[in-house]
Amino acid sequence: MEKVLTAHASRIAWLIFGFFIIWSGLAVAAALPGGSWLHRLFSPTCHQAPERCYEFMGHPIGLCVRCLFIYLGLALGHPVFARWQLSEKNSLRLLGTAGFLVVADVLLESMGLYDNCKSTRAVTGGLFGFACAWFTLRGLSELSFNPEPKITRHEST
Amino acid sequence: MMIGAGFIFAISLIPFSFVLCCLPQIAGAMLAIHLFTKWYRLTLTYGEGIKLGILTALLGGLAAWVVGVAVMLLFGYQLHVKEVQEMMLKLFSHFNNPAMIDKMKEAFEAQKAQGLTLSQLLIGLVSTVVTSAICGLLGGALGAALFKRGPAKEAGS
Repeated sequence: MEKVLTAHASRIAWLIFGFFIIWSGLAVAAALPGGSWLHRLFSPTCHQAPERCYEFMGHPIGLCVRCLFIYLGLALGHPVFARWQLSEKNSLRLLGTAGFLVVADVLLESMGLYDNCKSTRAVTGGLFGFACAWFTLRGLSELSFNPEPKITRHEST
Repeated sequence: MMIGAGFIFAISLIPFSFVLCCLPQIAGAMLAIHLFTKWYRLTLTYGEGIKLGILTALLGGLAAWVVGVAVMLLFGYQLHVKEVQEMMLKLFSHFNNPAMIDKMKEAFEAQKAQGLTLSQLLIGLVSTVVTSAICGLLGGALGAALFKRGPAKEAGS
């Protein structure tokens, strides 16, 4: 049963990996000519401030650095956690550390210790997305995995 | 769930709330799980947390989208667009490129004159559904991991 569950989690993980890679790819494609509608696609959940986005072909992409790396971290985390068994306690520790680093990065920048450092936002955002993947993978595997065989009732006359 | 969705909806009405990225939607989903586990004294599985989180974020996100579209259709006013445009112009002014600023102003005027088109409506709807689902997934999984009160329900029961 454990093997079946692992194989199932692996399938889910690669599906989610593909989705987030395509999603991030669309954000990069938003910088291409005629990609303004893609900017609108990402606008509800990202401020898209140009100075906080990477540029592609001289134009800002559709997601800020932190959001982009959260999605990439999520994409990477799913196949990694499908293969690498981590206990819930350690996953919570990893999530706590990642969350702390994101908050610390925001606070240090707002205190003026450094200004618009894309690399720290990329690392902290990526780690946070990676840490979240353990929990989302577990939930999605649980939702889609149904080990009980379907019971068909035959009415006897 | 309704309180979490109401939280997401209320935050979306605040000007400049877009700078918070996906945080309000994740927080709204987590709030729904926090209240659910508190009132019923139980621990949700990750799958159940994800279901509740996605439903909460979808409800809040779609309510905000419907109100935004209704205001646009009835009064011809786009919520927060003025603030977004002002912020974009301010940020792009750092690049010292007056031609780009003029182009942006022209684009904003053209967008205003064009009004609400069917393609904009569709992009807005797809964007709201996908981003709300992603944020609900994250908020639900994290909420189920963090808020554990009382006996755990069996997965799939």
